[in-house]
Amino acid sequence: MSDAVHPAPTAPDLARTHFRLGWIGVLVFLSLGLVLEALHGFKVGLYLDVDQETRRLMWRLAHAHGTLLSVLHLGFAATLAHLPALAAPLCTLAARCLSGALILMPTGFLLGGVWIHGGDPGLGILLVPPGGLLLLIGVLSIVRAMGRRG
Amino acid sequence: MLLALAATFLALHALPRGQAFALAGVCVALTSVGATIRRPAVDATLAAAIPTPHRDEGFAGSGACRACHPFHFDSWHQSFHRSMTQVASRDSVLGDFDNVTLRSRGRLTRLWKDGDTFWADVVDPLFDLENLNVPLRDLPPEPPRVQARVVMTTGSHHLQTYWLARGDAQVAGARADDASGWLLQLPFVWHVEEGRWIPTQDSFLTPPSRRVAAGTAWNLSCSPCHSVGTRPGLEDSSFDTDTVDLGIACESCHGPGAAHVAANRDPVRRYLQHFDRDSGDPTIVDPRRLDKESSAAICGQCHSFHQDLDLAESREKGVTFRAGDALADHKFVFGFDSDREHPAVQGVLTAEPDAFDGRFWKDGTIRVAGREYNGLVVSKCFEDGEMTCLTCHSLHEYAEPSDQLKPGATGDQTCIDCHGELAQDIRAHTHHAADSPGSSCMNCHMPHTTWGLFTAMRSHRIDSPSAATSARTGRPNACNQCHVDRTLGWTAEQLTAWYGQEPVTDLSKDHQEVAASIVWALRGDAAQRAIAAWTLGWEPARRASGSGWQGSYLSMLLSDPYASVRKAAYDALRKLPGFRDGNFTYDFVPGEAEQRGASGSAMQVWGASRSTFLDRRDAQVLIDDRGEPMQQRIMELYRQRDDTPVRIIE
Repeated sequence: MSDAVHPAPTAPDLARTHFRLGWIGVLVFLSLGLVLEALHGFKVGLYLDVDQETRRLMWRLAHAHGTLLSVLHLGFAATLAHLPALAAPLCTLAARCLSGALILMPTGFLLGGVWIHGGDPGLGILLVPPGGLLLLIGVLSIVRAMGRRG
Repeated sequence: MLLALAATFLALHALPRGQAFALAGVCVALTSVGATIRRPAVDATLAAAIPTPHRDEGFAGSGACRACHPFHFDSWHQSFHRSMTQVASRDSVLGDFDNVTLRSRGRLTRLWKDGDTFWADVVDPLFDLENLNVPLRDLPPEPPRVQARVVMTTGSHHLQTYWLARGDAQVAGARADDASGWLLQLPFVWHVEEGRWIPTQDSFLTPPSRRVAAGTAWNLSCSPCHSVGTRPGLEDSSFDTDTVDLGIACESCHGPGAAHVAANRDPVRRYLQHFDRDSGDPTIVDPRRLDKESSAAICGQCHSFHQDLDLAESREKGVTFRAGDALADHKFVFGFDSDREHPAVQGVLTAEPDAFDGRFWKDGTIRVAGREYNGLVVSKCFEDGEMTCLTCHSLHEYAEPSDQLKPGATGDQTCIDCHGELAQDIRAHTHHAADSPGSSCMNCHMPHTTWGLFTAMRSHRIDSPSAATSARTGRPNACNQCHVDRTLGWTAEQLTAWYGQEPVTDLSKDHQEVAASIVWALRGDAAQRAIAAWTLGWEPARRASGSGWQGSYLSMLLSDPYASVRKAAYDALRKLPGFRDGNFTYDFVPGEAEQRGASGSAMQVWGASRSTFLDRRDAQVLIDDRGEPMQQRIMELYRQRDDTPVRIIE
């Protein structure tokens, strides 16, 4: 068994991770955008019919939140690259929270739109509130880290 | 505006003062432009004239349903139920208001629009209502006129009628003693398909009259069925009307929904409902879960010939029936055999002495369209089975919005669901080719014996053809509606041979010798004549009975005293060879006297085409071997025309 303690990631490490995460996110969610546009293009009833309004809203929210959160990751990575002296523990917390939000929020909206109940989304939507909480904590951590910067 | 305020606040804090004011100015300008473009659909004058919205008595309004039921909201929104009553606007008004002058019975009506508002210069409709019982000769030659704003519409499918605000604010030159709140009917309706104005009284099957019939007040006559939760608020001679929804909306069929909306703000409750579909939601009425009587009553609250039990109360507070209630607790549904001494019946007969004769065939079958409940509840399928309106119709999942039949109910399948044994060998049951109109369940068991909106509609008293009933009551049977060239005697023989019905031994000479459709067209009362005229042009009838011989009878009906009969005859005539190419035009609106020439002209067209198209030379259709009409016999029948006044107002 190894007792090795993982050292806290440095700002450049985090920046590299979040640049990668951000660009992967942009790729994934812009692709989702293309899929949604294709659903429009081929007039797919599953997405466009009036009774599918909730699904359409959920999937558009998944696309929008995923893309914007990915851009947020790129912004976070750029901040870390520019300001390597940011408080490390808070940055680590922010990194974990933002990563969680990037997964939970778009996935929640996406799954919420797979099974719908009239005007209500499916139970996948339950992933969104914790994702939103993580996002809030992540951004708050960054603000606090900025405040503590030397 | 909020955006502009927020921008101003932010700009004052973040930008130099000059730039801040410039930015705020741009935002205010953009907001103003936006507000101008999106002008409210209901201006203040209009809002004051139409019923005010209310959310009392547990109603929530249809807007509250959309968020949770987008599909149901949309399917309702596309229906003609929704657009039954609308606020007059550029979108809802279908009629031509482009400086039009109309004339009926010597009176002029001028219509025009001013921007998005619609106006009429008419003889004061209130004057006509107040002088309902004054003989025409005693009315002043120049009755008072008003210029009144059109504020609401009724109908959007076949006919559209218009409601004039009678409050002082909407009427130029109103008398000082004007009652307020009245919504009174324009004396013309717009025929949507034909794109023309028709005098309102000529749009119904009503006896001919030289005077303009008084219109009706929407507040009293129409609001109970053409809106939701309307309280007419009649007090003295004015109305203070309020409503939940204009048009037939969600809560007409599901009952007041405020408790349902409140309960389902709780997401946990909603999701438990989603995963337990069997139990239903006790906070709202689902007509599919009701017993057959209560389910049918929801449609029957309007689609029946009825009257509120407490008329005085309903005139003030509106109808008391709510979805799920027993109809009999709130309304008296009239039948032909209703106790004539009942106060509700007395009330109807006092206002309209021939009300029952017009609306019912003599065996009690309803003959006014739109009153299908009266037919359904005396049908075996309802009495002995579980059939309700929802067996065939769906208000949300319909094949098309006109009849709102379920996609699977446009053919025979719904009947076969219960009568599957007949479908095993349909030809053995119908004695007609399986794919012919004679094997359609509806054609035989729901013949077109009700009248409304210028057309014959299917009876919702589901029964079997009977020559004996036709002979006794004058109600056409399905056989003679297709076989318009055959006698009632022929039908009786077929029904005896095929189904073992009792032979009919007491048929009149006419019904033994002359095609039933001709007897009804020439000798019948106005409803029989209208239905016979429609039948003579019906496509399955033309296929079964030929189409070259009907022209002479339809030509005669062009000068019928009843405008509806004349229109039915012309509509049928246009489907016949010789008349299809537009070489004969006709306007049914002018009165009987003006139409004699038209009858003669049509007869000439038929005469000219006869050598080419005549496909029956048969005494049953009163055309001799040489192809000449048997005039003496025709005129004998024509002179026996039943001129009993018939009034069918759907």
